[in-house]
Amino acid sequence: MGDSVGGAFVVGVALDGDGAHPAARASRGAVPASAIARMLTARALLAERAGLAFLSFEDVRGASSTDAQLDAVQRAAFLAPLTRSIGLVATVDALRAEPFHLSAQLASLDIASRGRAGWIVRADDDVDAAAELPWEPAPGDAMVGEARDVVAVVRALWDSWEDDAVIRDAPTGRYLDRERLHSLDVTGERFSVAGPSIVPRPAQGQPVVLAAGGVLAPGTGNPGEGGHEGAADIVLLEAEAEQGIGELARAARASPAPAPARLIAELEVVLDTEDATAAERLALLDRAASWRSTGRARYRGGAAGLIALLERLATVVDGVRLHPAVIDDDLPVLATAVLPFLRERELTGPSSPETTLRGVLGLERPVNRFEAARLAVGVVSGDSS
Amino acid sequence: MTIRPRPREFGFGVFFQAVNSSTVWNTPESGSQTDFDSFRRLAETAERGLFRAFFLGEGLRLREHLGRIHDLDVAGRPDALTQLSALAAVTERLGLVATLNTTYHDVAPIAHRLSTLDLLSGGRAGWNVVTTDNAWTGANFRRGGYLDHADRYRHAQFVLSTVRELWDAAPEPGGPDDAGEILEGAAVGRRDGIVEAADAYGGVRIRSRLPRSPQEHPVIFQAGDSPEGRDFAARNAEVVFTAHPGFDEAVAYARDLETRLAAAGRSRDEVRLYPSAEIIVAPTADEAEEQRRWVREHQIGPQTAIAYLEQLWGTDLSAYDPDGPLPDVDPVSDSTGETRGTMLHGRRAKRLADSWRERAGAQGLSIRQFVAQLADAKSLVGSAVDLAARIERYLDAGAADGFIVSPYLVPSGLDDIVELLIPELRERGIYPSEYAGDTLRDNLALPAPLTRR
Repeated sequence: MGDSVGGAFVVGVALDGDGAHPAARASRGAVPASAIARMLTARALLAERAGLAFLSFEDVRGASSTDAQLDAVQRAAFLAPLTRSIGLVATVDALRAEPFHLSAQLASLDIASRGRAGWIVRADDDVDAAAELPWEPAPGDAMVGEARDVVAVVRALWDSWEDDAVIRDAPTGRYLDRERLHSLDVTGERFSVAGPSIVPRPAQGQPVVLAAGGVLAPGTGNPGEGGHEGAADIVLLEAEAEQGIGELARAARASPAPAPARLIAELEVVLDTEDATAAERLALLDRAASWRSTGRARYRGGAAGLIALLERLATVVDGVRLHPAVIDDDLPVLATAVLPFLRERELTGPSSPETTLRGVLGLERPVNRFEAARLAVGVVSGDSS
Repeated sequence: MTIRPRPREFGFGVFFQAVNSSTVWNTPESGSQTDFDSFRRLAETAERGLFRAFFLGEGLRLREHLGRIHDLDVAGRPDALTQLSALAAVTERLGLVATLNTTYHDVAPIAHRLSTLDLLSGGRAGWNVVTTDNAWTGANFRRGGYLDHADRYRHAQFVLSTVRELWDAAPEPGGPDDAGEILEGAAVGRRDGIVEAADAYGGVRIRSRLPRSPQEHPVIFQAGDSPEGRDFAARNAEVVFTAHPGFDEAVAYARDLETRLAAAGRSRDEVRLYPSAEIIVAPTADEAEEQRRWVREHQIGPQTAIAYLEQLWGTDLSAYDPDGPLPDVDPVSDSTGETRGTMLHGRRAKRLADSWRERAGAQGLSIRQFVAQLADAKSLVGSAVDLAARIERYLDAGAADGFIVSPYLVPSGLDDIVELLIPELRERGIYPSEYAGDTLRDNLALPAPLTRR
C-alpha cells in the first residue's frame, strides 16, 4: 500500500434509473409504476448481500431532463427498514434546498436507518432547476459560498439537540432539558435559520457529508479537528483516467486546508457477463444512445481486470463509487465475481449489521459542538471555584 | 361523474402526535418518540386493525412557551415524508398521510415528494394541506414571514392547484397536453408536461417527471377550522380532519360543511369527515373510567396544568397551586400563545378566562382537574360495547365517517382499539373485515380526484 490510507477500502454503487448508460432504460423495457418499489428493493437487497458499503441516489434534475427520478432521500428512506448494514446516501442540491427541511430529512433518514445516512452535496447552476422555485437560488459566482453556508447550517441543526436532550424527568414534569437544545449561531449569507431543529440529534450525530472536489472546500467538517463547518467528510474525485485520480488524490491530501477525512473515486463500469463481453454489451448500448464522457473514469472489461484496478486505486483513495452501465446486468457480476474476491484479499472489510456508515468509512462519531462548548465552560468554572 | 353514496362503514386513522400533552411519556409503558420501531409498531397495529391511514403532523419550529422552548411535552419528530417513505416499506395497505405547509414548502418539492411517496407505496399517499403566515415560524426558512395573513388561503389554493396541474401533466399516452386554471390573482397552465404558474409571491416553471400512481393523486386532507379554512376544505378536501369529536359539535360541523360543500358545487358523499379523537376503551365502563383517570393523571401533571393556563394568561403562573382554584388575576393583554402557534388577544383572552373560572368555580374544580376536564372534551371513553353504539350514532348522523385517533401511549396506544373496539364495530356491521383495495382512495371509497373526472 502506498500513501496514508487508513481503514478498509469501500465500494459503493449508484442506484439510479436502470444504470449510468443513457440506453440502460431502453435496454430493460418500460417499468410500470407499480413495479418501481419492488425493483428498488430487489436491487438494494442484492447490493447489501454482496457486501457493498453504500448505495447512492441521485437528485431530481431540472426540467431539461426527462429521466423520471423518485426523490433521493425518500428512496433511501424506503430502503432503510428493508436493509441492515448498507449505507444510504442521497444526493441533494444545496442551492435549492430549504436548509431546515433538508436537515430534518437527512436526520430522519439517519434515525430510520440506525445511522446509515449520507448526503452528497450537489450545487450547480442549472437554470431550469432554478426556474422551478419561486425564489432566486444563488447565482454562479455565489454557488460555492452558498453551498458551504447550507452545509454549515444543516450541520448546526444536527447538533442543535444534544444527544441526551430528552430527559423524561417525572418529578419536574420535564420531557426535555431545554439547556441541551440550542438556537443556531450559524447563518448563511443569503438566509438565516433560527433553530433548533425539529428532529432530535441523528444516530450518527452528523450523517456523512460527501461532495465532489470544488463543490465545497475540502476539510473534515469536524469542529474538533479544525475543519470548516461547511466542509465535507468525504471528497468524491472525478477524473477520466486512473492516473488522473491519483493526481487528484495527491493534490487533495497535500492541500493546505485541512485534508478531507476520506477520498472516494468515481468509476463507471461495464462488465463482461455470462451472455456477452463488456465490449459487445457496450456496442449494443451505444447503438441505441451514445455514452458520452461524463468526466468520470470508465472501466470496460472482465471482473478480474476490475479487481486489479480497484487494488491499484486502493493505494491512492479510500474507496470508489461505481456507476454500473446497466444495473441489472452489472450489479450481479459485482456481487458474484468482484466483491467476494475483494473481501478474500482483505481489501474491503467484513460487513457488520451493527455498524453505522461512519463506522464503515472509518469516521468517528463527532462530539456535539454545543455539548463540547458547555463542558469546556464547565471545566473552566470548575477550575475557578 | 356520479358520486356513489358513502358506504355505511366506519374508519380509523392514527395520528402520531409527537407534540402536545396528549402523549403520556412518564410511565414504563411510554416508548421512544424517536426510534423508527415506535412508528413501525404503531403502523403495524393500525394495519392489523384495517386503519385507513397513518397520519403525521409537521413541525416547522420547536414549540415555545412564554418565550422559551416548551419542555413539558413530548417533542422532536421526524420529517413526515421521509418517515412515511420508510413506513411504506413495512406496510401494505395503510394510507400514509403527510402534513405539508403551503407557505414553507414550494410547489415543486411538494408535488415531487408526494408523488414519490405515492409511487413507493403503490398509491397510499395523502396530503394534509395546511397554511400559516406567522413570521415566528418563517424564521427557520429562506423567505421568512413573507406571506400576508389575508393571503394565506389564496396562496394555499395557488399551491394546491399548481401541484394538481403537475400531477395531471404526468406523461400519459393520448392525454391532453394543454390545460390550465385561472385563480384569483394567479395563473396556472401546462403544455408538454411543463407547468407554468405564478401568483403575487413568485412564479414557477416545472416539468412533471413522475407517472401517476394507481390512485392517480394523493388524497387531499384538510383541517382548517376558521371560516376561510372550512371554505378551503369545502372546495378542495377529500378528507376533512376536524378538531370536534364531541357528538353535538361534530353534527354541527357536518351541517356547516354540507352548506359550504353545496356552495362549492360538491356533494357530501365525495368527502369523508374524520374528527380527531382520543379513544379510551376497556372491557367495562368502570375499567374505562379507571383508565381515563390514569391517562389524565399522567397527561396533566401539575406543571402541565399550570403551563396550560399560562398559554391563555400569557404570564408566569408558577406561584399558583395546581390543586387550588384558577388564578383570580386577568390574562395580560396582548398575550401570545406561541405554544399553539396562535394568538389570543387581550379581550378574547379575558372572556375565555372568565368562562373558565366560572365553570371551574361552579364545579369546585382545581386547576389540574379543570385542565383534565378540558382534555375530556377531546375524548371518547367507555366500554367497547358502549363506544361501538356511540360510534354508530355518529355514522348515522353523518357526523363522522371515522376518527383520527391520537394514541395516548406510544407505541401500544392502539392495542385496545384493535382488540376490543373493532370487534364490537364488526358485530354491528359497520366495520370492514378486510381492506377494500390497495390504495388509500380505494379504502376510503373516494371517487377519482377532482381534476381527473
